[in-house]
Amino acid sequence: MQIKLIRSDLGVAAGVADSEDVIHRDGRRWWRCGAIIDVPQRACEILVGNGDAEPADDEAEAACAGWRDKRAAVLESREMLARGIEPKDREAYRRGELTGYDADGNPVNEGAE
Amino acid sequence: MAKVKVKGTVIKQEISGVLTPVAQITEFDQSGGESETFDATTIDTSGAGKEYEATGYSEGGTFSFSVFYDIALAGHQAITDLVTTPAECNWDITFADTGATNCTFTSAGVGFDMTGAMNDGLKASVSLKLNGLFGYST
Repeated sequence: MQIKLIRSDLGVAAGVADSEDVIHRDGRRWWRCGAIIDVPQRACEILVGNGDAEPADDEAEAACAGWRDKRAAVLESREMLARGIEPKDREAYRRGELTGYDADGNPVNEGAE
Repeated sequence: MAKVKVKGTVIKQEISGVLTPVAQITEFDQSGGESETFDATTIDTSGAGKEYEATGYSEGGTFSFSVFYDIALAGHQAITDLVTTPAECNWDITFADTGATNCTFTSAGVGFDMTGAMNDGLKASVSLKLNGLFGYST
């Protein structure tokens, strides 16, 4: 079954060959956001459930029944994971009070003036 | 020379070719990596010191980490999948240094322990037995 990767920060495992869906950046290999890949059912369930991907064919859609439920919360959690938001700061992130941390670990809000 | 913060370190698990970060890790530990030796002491060894030589093999050891365990989280289920359906798995640790140095390794087996306490959140400890060596930065 097929899924579409919806993030640009997903690394490519060592055993995967280069292709047009593999981008070289900062000396590493990354999946192209929007890449459609074939995966087994359990991987489909995990990557869609984790907020890394969306079903890209009927088979994957059926395997991930109900995946749109609470999708906004899943994607928000996934973005917080990518930004390294600490559990104690999650509510502040949801309120838009911080978007991440600086090099010294101090909260920063990129959207604030 | 730098003192590298642990905050911001990302541990990723391979899911069908995709490296995706494990959520809610609180600490990690890599231990047991060593080059193997054998006792090469003989009765005519001079001096009191016992002698050892390298066998030519090295032990990869174990990589462990603890998480606030979310039983409904797909990423955490991907770890327990390795207990219920044993398989090798590739892992990537990206450190929080300025170069975002990464190390990789392959796990052959997984240990999973869950703990609950009245005054704490639900937690789990994951222990990964390495197949081969830890991919130390060189």
